[in-house]
Amino acid sequence: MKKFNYLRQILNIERWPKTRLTIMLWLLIASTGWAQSGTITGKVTSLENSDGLPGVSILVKGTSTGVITDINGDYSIEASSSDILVFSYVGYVTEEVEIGSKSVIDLSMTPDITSLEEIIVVGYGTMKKSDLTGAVSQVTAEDFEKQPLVRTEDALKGRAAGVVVSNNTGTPGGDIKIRVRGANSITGNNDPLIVIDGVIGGNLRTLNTNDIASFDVLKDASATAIYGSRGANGVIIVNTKKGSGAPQLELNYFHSIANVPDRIDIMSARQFSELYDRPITKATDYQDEYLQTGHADNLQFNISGKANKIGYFVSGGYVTQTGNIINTGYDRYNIRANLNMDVTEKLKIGLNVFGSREKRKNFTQGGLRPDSDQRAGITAALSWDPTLPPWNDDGTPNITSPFGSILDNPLIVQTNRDNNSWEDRINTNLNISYDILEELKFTSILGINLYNTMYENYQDYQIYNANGFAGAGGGHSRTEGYQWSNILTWNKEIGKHNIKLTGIYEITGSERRNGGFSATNYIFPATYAVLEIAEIQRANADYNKNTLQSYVGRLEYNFNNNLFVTGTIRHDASSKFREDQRSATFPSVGLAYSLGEAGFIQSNNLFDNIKLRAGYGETGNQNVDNYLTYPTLSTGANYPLDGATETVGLAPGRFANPNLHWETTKQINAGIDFMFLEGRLNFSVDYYKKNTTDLLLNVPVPAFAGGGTITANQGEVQNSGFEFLLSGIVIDNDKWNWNSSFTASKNNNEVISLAGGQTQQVTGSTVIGGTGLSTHIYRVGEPLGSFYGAQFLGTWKTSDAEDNDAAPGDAKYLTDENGDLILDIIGNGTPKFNWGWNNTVNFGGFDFNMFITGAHDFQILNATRSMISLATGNVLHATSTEYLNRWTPENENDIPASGQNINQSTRYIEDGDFVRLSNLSLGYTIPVSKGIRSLRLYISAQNAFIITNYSGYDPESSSASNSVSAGINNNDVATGLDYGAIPNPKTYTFGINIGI
Amino acid sequence: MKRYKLVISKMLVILIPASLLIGCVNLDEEPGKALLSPEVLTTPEALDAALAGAYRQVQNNARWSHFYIPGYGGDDITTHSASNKAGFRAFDQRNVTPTTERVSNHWNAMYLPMRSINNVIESQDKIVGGDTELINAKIGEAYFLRGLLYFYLTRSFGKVPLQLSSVPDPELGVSEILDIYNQIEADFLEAEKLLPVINSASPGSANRPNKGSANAFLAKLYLYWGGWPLKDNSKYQKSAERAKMVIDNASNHGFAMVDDMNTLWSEKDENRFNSEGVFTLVMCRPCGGAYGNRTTGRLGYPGDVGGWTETFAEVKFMNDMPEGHRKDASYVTELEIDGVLTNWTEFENEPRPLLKKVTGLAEEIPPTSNNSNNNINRYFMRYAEVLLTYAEASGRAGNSTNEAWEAYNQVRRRAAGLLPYTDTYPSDITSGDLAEIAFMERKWELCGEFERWYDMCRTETVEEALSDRSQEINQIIGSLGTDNYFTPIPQAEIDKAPQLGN
Repeated sequence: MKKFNYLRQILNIERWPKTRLTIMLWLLIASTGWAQSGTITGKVTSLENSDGLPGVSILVKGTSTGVITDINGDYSIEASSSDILVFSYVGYVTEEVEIGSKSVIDLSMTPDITSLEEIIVVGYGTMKKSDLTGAVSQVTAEDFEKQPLVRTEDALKGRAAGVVVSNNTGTPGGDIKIRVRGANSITGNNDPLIVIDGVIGGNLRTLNTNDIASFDVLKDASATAIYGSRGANGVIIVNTKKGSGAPQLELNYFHSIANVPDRIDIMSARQFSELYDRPITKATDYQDEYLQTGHADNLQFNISGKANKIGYFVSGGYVTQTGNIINTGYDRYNIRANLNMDVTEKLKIGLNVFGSREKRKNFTQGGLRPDSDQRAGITAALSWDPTLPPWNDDGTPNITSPFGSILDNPLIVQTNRDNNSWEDRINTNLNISYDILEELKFTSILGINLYNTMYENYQDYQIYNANGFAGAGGGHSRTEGYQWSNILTWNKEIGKHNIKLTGIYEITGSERRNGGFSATNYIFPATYAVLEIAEIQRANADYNKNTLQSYVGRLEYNFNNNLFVTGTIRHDASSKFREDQRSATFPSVGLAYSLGEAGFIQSNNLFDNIKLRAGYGETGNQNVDNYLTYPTLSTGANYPLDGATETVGLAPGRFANPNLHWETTKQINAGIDFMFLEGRLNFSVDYYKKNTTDLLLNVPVPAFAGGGTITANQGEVQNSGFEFLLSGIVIDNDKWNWNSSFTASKNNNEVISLAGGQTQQVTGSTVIGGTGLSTHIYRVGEPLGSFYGAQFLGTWKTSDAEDNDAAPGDAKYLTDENGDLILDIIGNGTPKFNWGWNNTVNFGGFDFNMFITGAHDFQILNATRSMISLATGNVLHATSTEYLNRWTPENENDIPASGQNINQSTRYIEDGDFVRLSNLSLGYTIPVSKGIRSLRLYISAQNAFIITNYSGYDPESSSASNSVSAGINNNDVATGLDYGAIPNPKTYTFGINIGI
Repeated sequence: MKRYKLVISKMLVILIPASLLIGCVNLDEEPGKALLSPEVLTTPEALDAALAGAYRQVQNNARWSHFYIPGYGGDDITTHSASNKAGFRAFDQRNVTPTTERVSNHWNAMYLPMRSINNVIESQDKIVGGDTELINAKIGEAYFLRGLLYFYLTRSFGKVPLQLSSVPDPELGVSEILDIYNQIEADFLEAEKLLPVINSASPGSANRPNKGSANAFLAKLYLYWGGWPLKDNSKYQKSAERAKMVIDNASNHGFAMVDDMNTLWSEKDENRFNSEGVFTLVMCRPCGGAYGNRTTGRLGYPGDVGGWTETFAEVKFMNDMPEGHRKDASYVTELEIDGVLTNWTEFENEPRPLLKKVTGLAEEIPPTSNNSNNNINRYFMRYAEVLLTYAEASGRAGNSTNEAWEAYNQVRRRAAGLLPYTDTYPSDITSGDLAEIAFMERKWELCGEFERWYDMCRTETVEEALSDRSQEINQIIGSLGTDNYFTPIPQAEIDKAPQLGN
């Protein structure tokens, strides 16, 4: 009976008080009709065991009348039938019970580990954390509120086991890579699904950090299968804050100063001049001039509360950042209004409106580099001739130099760059829920979003080239998306059985239109807005539409609070596939068993509970372009047949595959949760193994058959690994509070098979060093992200060079008997082990946060270093100081003085392992004064300290593009490449939080 | 009971609009709103666009040096001794492997346009309306381009897959060389049948091929057919016959040698749209960056003037070449560096003579200019070559006629700076082994045009030509025998099509 009450309480957490009140009133009127006085007796026990709880305080509400339970948990109190008893005890949830006609009131008290945050959002509903059957990680505002964050993605970093957040670029507003349990797809998209307030397909970057109440990351298939065809990469569910209680205003501001970590050692102008016998026109440190200190201002405010039956949360935010590379920057504005209205007791309506605008200055390729030319940017700055200034004293530019890099002067290029882009989003979300019956609830979520982008750029090429022209380009896109989800939930308790059934019908779709234009050969330099004066004007347009229709069913069953079963099934039909291939069904089942009642748990003081979980599920991926099943003629193959004017040209387009269908991921998961010391310490471990089959693989087509790729369901990838979470309250007393949590995850990735007889495919950038060699390879039996290159063997010595057709001091590489280079896998760029350790300490008015993250077991191809170490490709003269100590006949060391510089070689493979102090902050909350609820001042340092053997700027930044273009997903198959990657800065922040 | 009725009615209120919406969801894509269907290729306008697309793909690949990379194996061309030119260097040193860089680019460059070309050929019977002769001419151009690319492919790689459909079979294996030659012959013959005598839309003589272009390439095909690897001597006579057809109809086709060789590698329209091209791919740098030539200009200059040091001249070849107008039009031996006229031997990066056919004219593309993308057209064959093919093939066929000698002498006269078509000069040569004399003349005439390597192969004179290069850089590493004449199929392609590795 006690268990029964408990279950009612958690499963009906929102409506329980009111429902009960109704029942009580009905009882009062129907059976008793009037208030009665008398003695109430009963026994108070703990939910965890049936032992009586001594010392529980029982008060008659609104009076000072009260008693305390005896050693057995029994009590006796005088009260009337209209009174309310308040039961309270340290460590347990305070409960109020109306007496009514009862004379005996037994109560089983709930330990206070089940605060509201422990309600987990599982997709189309919520679940109590203790009822979970799948692998779900939750991160709440409390976990990251002490860390000043510009980007919401960073809140997840290191805080959710199995979720790897990689800051691949230090560029403000740049792409952040998130992977849940590794990468499933070789050439497809591996980004997890983002669900914001029930609406699928949101964007984390634009969110206001302070708007977020919680992230729930669904990791295993028994949890993600509810999202079917889009769940394979994991699901990140974001809930924004709702208003309640008295009106509150919060105002948060911080200012950050960001600096690039330690400079790379390159020659001074004097060293360069002496080495290459080049006069110094004017010494210029291109590295220093190219980089700058970045500044960020972040202002956020929100007003929340609940008036009558309307809860409101209204917020606004503004971020402005300058990048660490000159002439770059990022601005973001956003506004949110979350309203929730209790129209009647049964009808509730929520409306969330969110708008954001981002503006970027000179932002290229997701922020991975400042220049669209991969060779340019930081690498060009490091290798450019330091004896020559960008501008002479008379103002004339030095565009090129016969020394160092042959590329255009990076300072001139970057200073004159004028590219601007805007992204505007409006997301609206209407949520209606109606309690048809006590056990039957209907919810309808209607999400409508609009996403508009625009870019403009203008370049006067006469700066670079006397024969050059001015040119401009621009474009826009408009995407409208919608989602309509209808959810019917039926929940019933029958004895020890609790059954919850959920049925969902959902349609989602989006429609995107975009157009672009370019204008080259201005008749004279002017400005973007008059591009009509360009002689060559081109335009392009694009249209895309897709629709997904789904039916979902879920069963949640719970027996006696010990055994939990969740089963889901989702049927999706996608417009991206032909009718006969369109539909797929994704089942899952999850089981959990709680040992809380078992004897050995009951009889020891260490464990509170142990829970075993296991699950299996299938999820899909349909994240491919629209219309892939139809052949097409591609445009843009124009040609000036007469040598003077273009004729419109058409060519056979990419190959169509009418048989295309889903990619399927099958995953098993087993986990165990330990709860110690009355919930103060929690430990969880999960094992998973997932196999992704029928990959939506862009199978390379031999050039003789047309080249390019054909998207086909071929190949298989496997990921398996472990995840750990250890969290606890280390100290909790009147003065001190120390919370600590540690997460770790280990993932093993392996390509099981590829298309047909293919066993490997080189991939990644081919432009480094101009050799045409690829940086990476994916090969059956090996993990994604493998480097492909030569074995570096130092230098040819005077004694052996001549016999090998080499000059003494030449770089030496492993070759076969014919003298051909042996190319093979020489490392892997994806960390296999990631962890995070978060600590928050409160002492009096002080709060302290220390957050450490680490990534291990991976390598980096330091192509930035390769480009300055020895003449190669577009660099004619090495600029690295290492070259000053190169091989000489007198000192025959292994630093090559000459010969071929193979960038894709073990010479430039370095261990990437790092441990980083991601955040260190100290705050002080000033005692409350009149009119102000709270006032906190803080200072913080982010990325201030790193332990690594990596010689570049930053082992976390990478040059692998986040976009899936040209059939190559560089972000997972070409990881760990530092080719002028923009480092994450060391950031120092001062901030203030005001609550009124 | 009443309660449940209420529930049912409430549910209906919800489910009816829901079911209405279900009816509206259309899951069929409408590709016509987003894509251009291949089915549109039924009008003369669409054919024009498909042909332009095919040319574009040829030009987009032929504008890079890797298209011609075996040419670096010739005794006329070399490349930088270090820098990022390893691929070019491997050919220069006869050390090419399936993983040598740029071998893939080279292979791809000739195959990637093939699907577009086949697409045009296949449209022949689908075009409705329009002038049949004009349509046939365009189909003929596609046959010509296909023959040309397979000729280039088999010259370089030997046995290659013969892909003749726009819906290609990725599991195709390689064909025998004889079968490939037969296919090329068939394509050129079909082109010859369909093409006009002269294409009025062509700005120069044959920026769009005509019957003469097809015959000229047939002549060249037969000349190769007579040599290594097929060595079918009977083809020399056919070669001579086809070349003779071109020469006899030269004025109808618009073919004639220009007087001043210096104008051949010019950016100016009045020079680049000339009568000498038997097939010339037009570039158009002012039309956009994609339409420029990237085998010429800056990349032929040394680092001293900001050059890309990609394509240089070999010293011995230059020294051996007879002095005169042609030599002056072929080489650049001095540059002004920092105001000082500097001989090539004094260049720092690096000391090689330069090919004027690569650098272009200094007055148009100054050595210090940033022009690695320019307006110089790319000749696939010049009329001078037709004359020499005629002379050599006649000689090899044992039929050294006066006309054949005259063809040879025309080239020779111009090389000396004389008017080519003015009858006899006292210096004309009219006796000796015409085959060898014409072959030698071809060596000098086509120097730096990436043809010499193939001429060395078909005559099996690679070893003879390369064993005495007197060049201290890029020494020969690999075999000079016929075992090392062909370029290996690139490993990247074998990865995609394992059957090619067998």
